[in-house]
Amino acid sequence: MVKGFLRILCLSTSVFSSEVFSFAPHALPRGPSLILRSSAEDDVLQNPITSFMNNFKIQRQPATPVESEEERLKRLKREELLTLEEKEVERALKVKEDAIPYLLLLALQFLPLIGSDRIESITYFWGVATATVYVGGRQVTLEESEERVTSENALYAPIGASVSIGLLYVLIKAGFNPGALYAFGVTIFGALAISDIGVPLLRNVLPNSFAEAKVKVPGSISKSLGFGDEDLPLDGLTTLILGIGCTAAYWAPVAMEQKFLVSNGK
Amino acid sequence: MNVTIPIYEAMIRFIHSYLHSFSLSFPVIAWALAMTSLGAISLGSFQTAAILLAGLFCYDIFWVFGTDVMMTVATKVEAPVKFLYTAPPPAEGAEMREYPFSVLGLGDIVIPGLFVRFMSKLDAALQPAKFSYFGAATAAYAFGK
Repeated sequence: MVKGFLRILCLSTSVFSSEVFSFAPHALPRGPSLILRSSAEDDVLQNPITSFMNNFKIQRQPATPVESEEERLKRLKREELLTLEEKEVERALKVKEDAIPYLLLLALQFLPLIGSDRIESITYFWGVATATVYVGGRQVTLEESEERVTSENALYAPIGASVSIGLLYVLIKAGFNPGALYAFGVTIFGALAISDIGVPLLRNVLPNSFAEAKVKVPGSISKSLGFGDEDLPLDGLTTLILGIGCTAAYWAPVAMEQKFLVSNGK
Repeated sequence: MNVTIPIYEAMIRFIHSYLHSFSLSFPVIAWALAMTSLGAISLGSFQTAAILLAGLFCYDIFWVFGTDVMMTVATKVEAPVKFLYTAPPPAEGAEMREYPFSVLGLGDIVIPGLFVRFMSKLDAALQPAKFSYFGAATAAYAFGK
């Protein structure tokens, strides 16, 4: 009779603990917490009453070291840089996969050596456009979230573009050429774009040590570029310098002279 | 046979060509801008893509063939938002060209490119076994270009 009662109690306890009160321990708050046991096997091995009472035993979780706000920010920054590095590796692999279109793009820049007839200009534009669309469509980006165009934005895009081009036309006809101001803004963005796009390209051209190398710079520069206390990656810094170099070359006196001649129709 | 002279001539022609087309930085900046735009902007749905392409198709036809607005702006505003190629010399007796380059605007690459990129994402999401939406879109762009 007692045995039978204990058996029923034991059975009811196991059902009770595993089915009705099976809490996930990680969901409970830190510090002293109520741990409900779910293992029926332990309950059978122990005295059933002890086992039943153990279900409501208050246990203290081992104390975990609490990190300060500064440490937490540093850890998050490290994690972010690590994710960024993984993405950079992925980008470099994609560039390696698409090596032929990239080489085609480079080769097309030498087409003026052959000539400037209609066939060459068509080949140049066709090649540049198709190869860019191909590699651009397959590229891996660092940012997860992209600027998403909605249907409403798409509907108003031609109107917005028409207003912009109309305004530029009116300004030109009125004798104000906003070209220099426009070009200045474009080249600034261009320098940043080169510094971003150039990293996976350089990683495929230069040895691995280049990708891993870091450059020690003053803390204020590093912080202003969003790297916190970390040293700057050499590849990113090199492409940024390349971008600035390209912008400087664009605005160089020779190029400016040519722009002047062209814009005056000479 | 002396090959030095042709190589020298080719080098001169190459340097002259790039000095004449605003230095090599011009296509590099334009290309980087195109690539960054393709990576930064995403079309949300096929419907959005269809509206955008159809709308800009009409916009392009109107401003390029209906008026002189596009031509004026493209040739007067000098900024690296286009690809240039030295135009062929005019035929004998013909007038000198006012603008000595053939031009391809970045819009002609970026706008269809956004659709091609969208197709690439569609491939990644649907994983079609036999057919690649990205491949078909790229081929259509290359053929239509």
